[in-house]
Amino acid sequence: MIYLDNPATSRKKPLQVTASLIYNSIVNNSNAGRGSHRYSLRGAGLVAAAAEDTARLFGIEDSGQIAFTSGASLALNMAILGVLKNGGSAIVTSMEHNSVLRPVHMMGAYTVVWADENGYVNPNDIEAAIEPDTKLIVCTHASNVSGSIQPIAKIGAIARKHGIIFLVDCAQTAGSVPINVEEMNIDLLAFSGHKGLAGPLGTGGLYVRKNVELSPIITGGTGSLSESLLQPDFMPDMLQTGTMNTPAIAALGRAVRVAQDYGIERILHHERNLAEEFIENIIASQGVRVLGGCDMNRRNGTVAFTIDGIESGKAAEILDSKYHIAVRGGWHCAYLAHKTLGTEKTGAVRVGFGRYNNRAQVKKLAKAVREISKGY
Amino acid sequence: MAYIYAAIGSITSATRLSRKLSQAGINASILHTPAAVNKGGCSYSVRVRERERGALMAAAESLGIKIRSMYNDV
Repeated sequence: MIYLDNPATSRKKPLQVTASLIYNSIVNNSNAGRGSHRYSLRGAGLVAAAAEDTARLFGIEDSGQIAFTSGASLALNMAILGVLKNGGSAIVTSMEHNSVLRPVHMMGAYTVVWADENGYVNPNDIEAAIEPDTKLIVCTHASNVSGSIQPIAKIGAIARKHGIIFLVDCAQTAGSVPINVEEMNIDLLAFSGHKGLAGPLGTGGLYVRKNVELSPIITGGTGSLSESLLQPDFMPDMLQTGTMNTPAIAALGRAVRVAQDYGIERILHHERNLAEEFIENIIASQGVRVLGGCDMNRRNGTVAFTIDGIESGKAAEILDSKYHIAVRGGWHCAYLAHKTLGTEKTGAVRVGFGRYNNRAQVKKLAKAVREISKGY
Repeated sequence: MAYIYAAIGSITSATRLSRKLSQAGINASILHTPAAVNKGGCSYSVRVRERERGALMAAAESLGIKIRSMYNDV
């Protein structure tokens, strides 16, 4: 089986990550930081160490500003609902995932800035959309549909200039595209641990820049200030309520170190090369349309395409049943992105190359797509 | 041996402070703050040798961690 659904989750994990998860599930599975016995303290130490590793990955100065979550969706909800709780409006792009669009829609006041037909957002369009009550700008780092990488540093500079909080959805780029919160002017960074970072399922987190006004959306036990009925107002306690998944967070920390040791640039280079080779192999096929632009420097390892006359879901089904290739068809929880790319009626087949994929798999996939396009 | 204790409201913060000190080669441990010192609720203290008081204060400041109170052996 060739697994290419990496934008949803990476299936194969580094051995060190799996080993860490198993070891800590047996040895360090107590409630981290909810007592002063050795197991609890050891758990708290593992979580703190994972935060330090994550801070290094994203160029974050203070690891205490990172809260671990169950994934990017929860982190994005914490950020969006937490910023807009007391009013104000948001600017989002048409390339966002529903994890962004649904919470902003729920809060009511927002503007959608449309990307071009290749899925790229023009920072000037974002600046033009700023209103006096704009409190938050949200942009995905890379589209989960087309793999288009957005000009985050430029958008961040605009947000900074206007004193607007800038939230970046790094679900598709953490661990596979270099990220630096200082260079990119990021105030809030939501990331997934189980995709490009190849950490365990159910891991992710939110970075909150110091002095960014954010209200907690979940309250409860934090292991701090128990005498108060108010949720702590300091990070990470403010956002880390309830029992943490210590073994998974420890394994995520291991995954971060593995990715950094290997080199994020090197991972990006590998995944991008595979994507480029795949595009080159199918672009001339009759009836096949690749979404997004051809400038590989502005893409990651994700490629979406359509095949004339075959529904995307059906094509994904054939790739699975006949060719033993796991991909995803449909709308990928990002309908506006499909509207932007002109595929709102058809959806698309999405493949995402990960660090463990290789050129032989690309060739098999390309051959399969060509055959399907000819009526398989 | 004389110890100094820094009472901190959060176990997360106490852990971060303890790690920072340990990384600097200073032996630090975390204990529950005794009721005689604590005004109620959960509180944890980071314990170091008396002579490491300066390093403890500096580490807490660099991490932005608020120390509720300092005390000696109770």
